Amino acid sequence: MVRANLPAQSTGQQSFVHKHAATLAVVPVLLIALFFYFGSTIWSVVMSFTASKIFPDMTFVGLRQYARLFNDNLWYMSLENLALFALGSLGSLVLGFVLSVLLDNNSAGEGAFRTIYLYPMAVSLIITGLVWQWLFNPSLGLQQFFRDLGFKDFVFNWVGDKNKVMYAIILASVWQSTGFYMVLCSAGLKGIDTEVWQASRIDGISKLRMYLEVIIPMMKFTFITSFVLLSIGAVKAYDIIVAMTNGGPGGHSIMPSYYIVDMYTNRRFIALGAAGSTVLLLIVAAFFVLIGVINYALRKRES
Amino acid sequence: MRIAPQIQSLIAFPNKIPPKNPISRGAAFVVLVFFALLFAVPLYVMIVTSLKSMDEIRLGHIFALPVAPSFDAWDTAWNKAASGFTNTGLKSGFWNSVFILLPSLAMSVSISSICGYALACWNVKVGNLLLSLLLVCAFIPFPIIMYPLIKITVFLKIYSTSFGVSVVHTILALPILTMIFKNFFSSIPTDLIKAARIDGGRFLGTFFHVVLPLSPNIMIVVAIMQITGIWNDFLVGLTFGNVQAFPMTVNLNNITQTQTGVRVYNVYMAAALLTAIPPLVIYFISGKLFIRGITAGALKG
Amino acid sequence: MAQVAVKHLDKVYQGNTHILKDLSLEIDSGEFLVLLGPSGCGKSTLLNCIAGLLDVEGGRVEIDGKDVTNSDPSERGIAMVFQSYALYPTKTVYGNMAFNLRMKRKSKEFIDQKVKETAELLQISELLDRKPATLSGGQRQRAAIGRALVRDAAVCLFDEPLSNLDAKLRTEMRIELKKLHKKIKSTFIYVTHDQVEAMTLATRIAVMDAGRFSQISTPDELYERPANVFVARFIGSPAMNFIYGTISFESGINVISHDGIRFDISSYPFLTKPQNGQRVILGVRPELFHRATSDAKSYSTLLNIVEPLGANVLCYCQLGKSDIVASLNPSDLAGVQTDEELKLEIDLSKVSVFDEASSLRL
Repeated sequence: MVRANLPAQSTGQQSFVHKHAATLAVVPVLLIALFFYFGSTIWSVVMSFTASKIFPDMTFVGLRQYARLFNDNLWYMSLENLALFALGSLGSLVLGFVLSVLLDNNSAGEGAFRTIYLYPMAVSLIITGLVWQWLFNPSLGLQQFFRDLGFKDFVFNWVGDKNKVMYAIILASVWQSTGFYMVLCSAGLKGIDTEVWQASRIDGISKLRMYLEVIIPMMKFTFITSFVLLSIGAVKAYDIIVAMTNGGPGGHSIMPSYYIVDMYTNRRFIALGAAGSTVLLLIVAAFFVLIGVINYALRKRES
Repeated sequence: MRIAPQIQSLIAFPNKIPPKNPISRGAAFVVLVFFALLFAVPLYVMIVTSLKSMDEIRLGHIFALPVAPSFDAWDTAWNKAASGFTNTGLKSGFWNSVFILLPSLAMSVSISSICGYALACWNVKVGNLLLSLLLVCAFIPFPIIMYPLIKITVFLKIYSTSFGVSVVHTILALPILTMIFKNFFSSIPTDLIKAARIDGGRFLGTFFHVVLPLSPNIMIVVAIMQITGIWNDFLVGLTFGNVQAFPMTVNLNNITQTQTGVRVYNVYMAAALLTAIPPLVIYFISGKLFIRGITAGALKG
Repeated sequence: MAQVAVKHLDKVYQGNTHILKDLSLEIDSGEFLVLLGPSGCGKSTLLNCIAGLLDVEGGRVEIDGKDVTNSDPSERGIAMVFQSYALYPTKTVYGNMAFNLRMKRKSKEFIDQKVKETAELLQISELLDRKPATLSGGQRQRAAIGRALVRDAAVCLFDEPLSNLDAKLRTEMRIELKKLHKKIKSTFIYVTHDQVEAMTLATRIAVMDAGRFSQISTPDELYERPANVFVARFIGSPAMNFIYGTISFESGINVISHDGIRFDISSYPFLTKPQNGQRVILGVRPELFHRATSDAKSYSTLLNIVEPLGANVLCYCQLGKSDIVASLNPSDLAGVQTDEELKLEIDLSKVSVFDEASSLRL
């Protein structure tokens, strides 16, 4: 911007607006970032140290809400499920990578395949949850279909089984997001120099070996991006739980986002919701610091 | 000296790449088809189920084609399915979604594109600070800012209105959209902006006359990303829309979770399809741009 | 027409890198001033400051006596041509040229007339309806110049406008620019790193080095009497030969090179009085060497490599322990082979002498 201590040349207010137009354009976003994001985050962190229930209450109780949180079996289960979900949704990346490799080696109908693999990404997770709930329906869905085919003991009632309900949710979510990771991996594969393949042919290296020893290491930054996105997905997971199980049976499919939103909206316990979201924020921050360090180390080694 | 056969073939036919192994190619194709069928199953099941009556659903299996296809379930889903307190079907949710979508699309795209343009093409003192802030914002989990945002929208008297939901969508979209626009506009040569300034284009004039005509693709990509993102949203609509301004997804969920009486899966599937049609249509029409849209949008906090 | 003055200009990037240091320069009306220097010397930064595209940390810019330091670029009455042409890709050539006048809310008829006039001047009338992407490099260049000229700006700024063109086109456009300047008589300020462009186009050249002016003078003056070693080295191709030695007042004024060769510079017009034993650099342009006609004043060299350029011949020789380049007439080389002795004489009245410590001309 223009030096402030020089006398203004042209006239009045219009000139000010015009000169600082770029700064003025940035101000709304800056204020939103500071106020709605950072301000709200700080407010929630503060609330987590108070006794607030239905209404905000500024009585400070130290870490009591955190103690209460970690004494809550549901919260434990939600953290366990978060880890399980994050691990399980790696399936999208694995399957997406395999599909992208297969597509890379097969040009027939490429567009059609991509369209089919990716369409689940276009629909709401509420719909994903609903349709998979229907497929998992014990008396009318897939279980019955296979029993009618003659597999009398076939059991596929994962949604109703407290030990398997998370796998059902993971399956639905893998179905929903595999196409997306396929697209990411395809972009990564396309970025690899074709000369590498020509060199491998001259050296007589098999394709499988090439993928394992050359291509996958070359795509490490694609994978890091994918890890970040998968973890964001796990932290955000809410809609699919609502639509498929509503946290059931018996809270066995509850996840942190669901726990926190439920705490705020149904159970009306602000401080506990705030404490939960603060823990979630710390988990996210720790994860991104870790990813950042790995990313930095990899890039440093490369250069 | 012996020359490896691979090299021999390269010398003999320098332009010809040796053909790929036909067997592995066939195998790849088979696996691709298998997964394509697997991925298509849910959509197929949704469509056939929505065209059946409940009696037929109970008698036949889940994959069976409808014996007497009828759109009764679609009609019920759209016009009279019960959700919570009312029996007005999905159509009110549809219109709510439209009224949530349009203002938030306009607000988020205009604010973020102009801010991204200022950051990319003009020398703004706080620019780098803001970009780092936005990056952090993009990773702040929504639940931690949800309750304060509710309080703020209540204070502004826009809570449980479709406009309030629009505002929240705009706030949530700004960090990532601003970064996307900033990155895109940074690719515009600085000389072009300088030329426009000398030609008398001021901040907005340069934006509309020079920058915007260069950016139809990014605008479409962002629009697709916002439309599908907002249309498919559930949590924001649920927590900020309240009863008066539920978007279609919340409406759909209410219909399926109304526990009175039998679970009418044909109506549920019809309702799900109705809700899915707008983004699916955009998906099938826009193809590659859609892919770019969701790739960009996936970074959204 | 307008005069441009830059007074004590300071430009600092990111709070630490001093790009321009206390620059002052006055440019007369109708001048063709070239800012010349190696990349990174600050010449483009200075041009951008004059244009108002960059804010300055100190000093002022005046156009026609009016302080415009704080004015918007569009209010300074300037036009600018960019290295990358910076044509608006979505507008036709006509649209590019009309844009400025439209922003100034001129009438349609006026704009139309102006654009067509200027297009004719630059012989781009038939290109007016085309988009920049469909034009060749030379055509784009013309369109970009057209966009600058259409507004009758008193000052035209050029930021390396020819460096994206191939060699032949560059020569053509150079001549064209010179004609244009003669015709429209605006003040031109032109940035380049190409000394041939600078020498051929400029009425005055300002040579810049590390954010300062090394010398500001006419092309001839710059070539014949460079003010310091930097300018001497930068101007001229092949570069000036430098011979290191000391001043000796024994029988006239002489430079004795470190390997004992004596150069009589009694006729040299010293600006400052030299001292006996002062360490100096003797600068000799390649074309000041001639084949010796008599043995009396000749210097014996060993001819290493010959580069025939047609009109003249570049001879890379060894004079004592220094490697020198001499530009000779082809006929001068008759009877001499490489790796043989070549006797040369030097036109010592036209050499340059620099103080070794300060690098300044003596």
